[in-house]
Amino acid sequence: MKIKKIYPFLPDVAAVMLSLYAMLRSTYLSSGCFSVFAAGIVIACFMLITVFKLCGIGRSLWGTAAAAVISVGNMTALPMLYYTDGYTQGEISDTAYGTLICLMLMFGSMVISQILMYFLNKLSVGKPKTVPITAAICTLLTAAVIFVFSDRASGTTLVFGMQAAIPAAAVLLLCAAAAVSADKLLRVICSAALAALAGTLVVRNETGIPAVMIAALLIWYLFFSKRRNAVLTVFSVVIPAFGAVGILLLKFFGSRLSGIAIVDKVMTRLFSGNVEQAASAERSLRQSGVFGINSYLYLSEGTSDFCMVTLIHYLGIAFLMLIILSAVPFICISAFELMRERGTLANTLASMSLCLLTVILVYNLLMCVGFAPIIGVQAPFVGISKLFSILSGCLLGWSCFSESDANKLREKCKEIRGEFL
Amino acid sequence: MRYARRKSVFFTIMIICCFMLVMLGAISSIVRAEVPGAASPLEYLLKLDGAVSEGNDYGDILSIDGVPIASGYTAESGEYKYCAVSGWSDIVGSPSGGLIYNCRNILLANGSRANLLLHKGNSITTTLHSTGMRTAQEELAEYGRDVNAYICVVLRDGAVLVSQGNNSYPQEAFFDPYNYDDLYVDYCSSRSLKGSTFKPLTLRMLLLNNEALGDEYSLYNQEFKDFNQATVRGHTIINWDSCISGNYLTDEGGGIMSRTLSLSDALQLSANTYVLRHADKFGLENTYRKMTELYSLNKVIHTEINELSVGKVSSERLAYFPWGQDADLSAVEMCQLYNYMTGGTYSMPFYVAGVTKPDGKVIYTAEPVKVREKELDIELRTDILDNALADTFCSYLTKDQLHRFAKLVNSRRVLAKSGTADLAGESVNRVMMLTVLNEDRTKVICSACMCIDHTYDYDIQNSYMIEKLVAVLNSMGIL
Repeated sequence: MKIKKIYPFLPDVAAVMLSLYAMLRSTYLSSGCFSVFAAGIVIACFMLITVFKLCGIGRSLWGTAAAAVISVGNMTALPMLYYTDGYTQGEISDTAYGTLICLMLMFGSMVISQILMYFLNKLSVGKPKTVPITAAICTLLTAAVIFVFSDRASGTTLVFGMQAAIPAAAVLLLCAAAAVSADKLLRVICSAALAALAGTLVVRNETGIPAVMIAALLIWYLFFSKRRNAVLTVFSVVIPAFGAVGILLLKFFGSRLSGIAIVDKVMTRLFSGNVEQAASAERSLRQSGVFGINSYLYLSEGTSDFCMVTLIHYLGIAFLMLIILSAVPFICISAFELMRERGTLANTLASMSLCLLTVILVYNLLMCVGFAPIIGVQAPFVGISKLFSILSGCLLGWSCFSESDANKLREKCKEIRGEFL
Repeated sequence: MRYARRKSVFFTIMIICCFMLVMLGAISSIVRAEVPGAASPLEYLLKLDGAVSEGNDYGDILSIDGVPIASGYTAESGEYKYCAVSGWSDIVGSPSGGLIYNCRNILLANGSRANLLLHKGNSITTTLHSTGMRTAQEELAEYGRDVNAYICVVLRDGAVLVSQGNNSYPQEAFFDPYNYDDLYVDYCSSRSLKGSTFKPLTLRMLLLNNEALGDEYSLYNQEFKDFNQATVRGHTIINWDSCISGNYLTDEGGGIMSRTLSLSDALQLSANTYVLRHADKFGLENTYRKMTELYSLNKVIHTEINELSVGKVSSERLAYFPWGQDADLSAVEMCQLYNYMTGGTYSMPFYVAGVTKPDGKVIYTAEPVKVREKELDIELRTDILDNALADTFCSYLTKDQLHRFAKLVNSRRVLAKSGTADLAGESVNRVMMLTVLNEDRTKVICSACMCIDHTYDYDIQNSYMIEKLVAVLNSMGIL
């Protein structure tokens, strides 16, 4: 029983020890980086203890532990991340804040999600159509805003200076959850809105989020959906199968079709595009060894998509092992719990969030080790994008905390308020 | 409930499989690191397959005689930049291309930001000769920015001793690079039309296939009947002196004049029709194919810092290829091919002689790459083409030069060929090739090339270009 209580903390303790080992041998460590690391450790400890005290051992604790492992690694590798080309002096603080925001938001997002659920429930009392209609309108509005205002001059699709795909991912998730809980006609409307937003993102050259979103929804349908639809079931198998066959055909016969713009674009993206990025990531991993390498040599490209490679470069394959040891129990335990719970809007959102988080993490890792084509998928809890940190935190919060956890928190808040008053 | 349990088991298996795949990818990357690639030692270093660079600041870039040829400075923006010491810009390049860019993995552990920590990286000793480079810069100083003038010297083993252009600006130019659009351009590795200097390459191939030409067209025929113009496949090609009746013996009527030429005469007079008609006799397609095979014209040569290639020729333009009008290649490659054509050894050009770690340990020493399969058996002293080129060198010299270079002339150690390629807009490329043999004329030492591209000055004398090349070669003690 004691081991069961200790086990969720073990990957975190090992990650901190690994980080300290890397820092001790590092000649690049600065006081600034160490301060961020120390602050991160304090926050991670606070989060772990609070969640443990409030919610006990469950998916919330496992989720917090997994996030803490990645965040600790991110804060340790800041000197390395700083020296990769993608970062500047100003961005180092962004990275640090992003990581800390992420950790705190994990908890905060539970509150956000509960407030959201509260309003959604209020809206849907006696009016079951309100939530799906609102979700569909919001989704279409988002699509319209992205279509009209998006700008890709910087290489990323931006709307008013923000990454368009990230809020779109949250909206897509909410709309998908609303579609599942709606009746037949509204489900079709919500699905159409979903398709419109995903299509808009693709048209605006943002392929990463729509791709992982489709993958996440397919996984959700196959494993978490309480209802079955023959057409959807067939499609959920046929779409990936078609995709796989298409990729194989392009791989072996694509050269004969070269000259067709769309074929060339897909081929470049899948097979020859970003070869330098992939080669750089592979070189970086080659040098990492079990406990990492204390050298700037062979560092990977410093874009957010490849932050995980830099972390593994600095902390070694042992760190990757720790991520897996903390992520696998979190994902599996959460899935096990969510598959058994009722199909409420909150649970649907939680299971979809879990699927999306899993797909993002797994795809990014596969991309980093060269087993998946490079599309714009960042790893959660790392990188310089504050928006992505917020999304990561929200996804974790939505998937981690159950309604009973929220109730416990509400009770605790009442207790604290009572003591003060 | 049972259904949910089954799904959760499948889900767990799927997740574990995915993460196992991730681990497999990471572990395989590490395991593969133990096996060095089959590439050459320098390629191995360049590809970063071995832990070689320990520093974070750029190491030194040195000439072959130990003179630093590049240095770092902090720009007004606060950004750390790396530029060539005056006179070396074209070869050293910039972070966006050239020697620093291509060898940055050897020079430096990582990106430019790492320069904030002054940990020095590995040093590279190039094959470039500081005195030769400086002399070439001085010789090219008279040419303005309206032309591309450059000098290149390549040793028999492929080492590039000199690669200098008239775009070697003073160091101040790096503070305002936008005013110098060719600041980092390495003219010597850029392709351009080389004109009649290509003729000896065609003639060498034809000599190797001389039996196929028959008695009349044999290159050993001392009295080949040459005309002032020749029409091949609808293209009428004329000699540069086609209107100078004094250069011809017989007026054949209808504007056609003829004369008898030996191989040596043909080279000295740079007779286009002589080479074209021989190539046509051999077959234009056959000529192109055999030359492509012999000189690997269809292959791109990858050096440490650049790629050298030869422009393709369309079938409609094959008549312009044998005598050089459409021969589009770099000066470095011309030198390499001259070394091969005159001496019989095909060596790959290279720019890096060695790599040294900050502690002084040498981790790479260049080993010239000779392509044994391409070796030609050429007896330099008696070879008809080499002797013809030695005659050609003498024919280019002025009386004064004949007197001053008497020793060289008598020793017949220097082979030469000039060329002029017509360009659109009535400008021309002027080219001079020199090949230097050792004192007993048994081996080639090096080949040198001087080009003045896009010039409107038609009066650039061969003797003038020879003077400049001799000065560069003399400065390195080669002559």
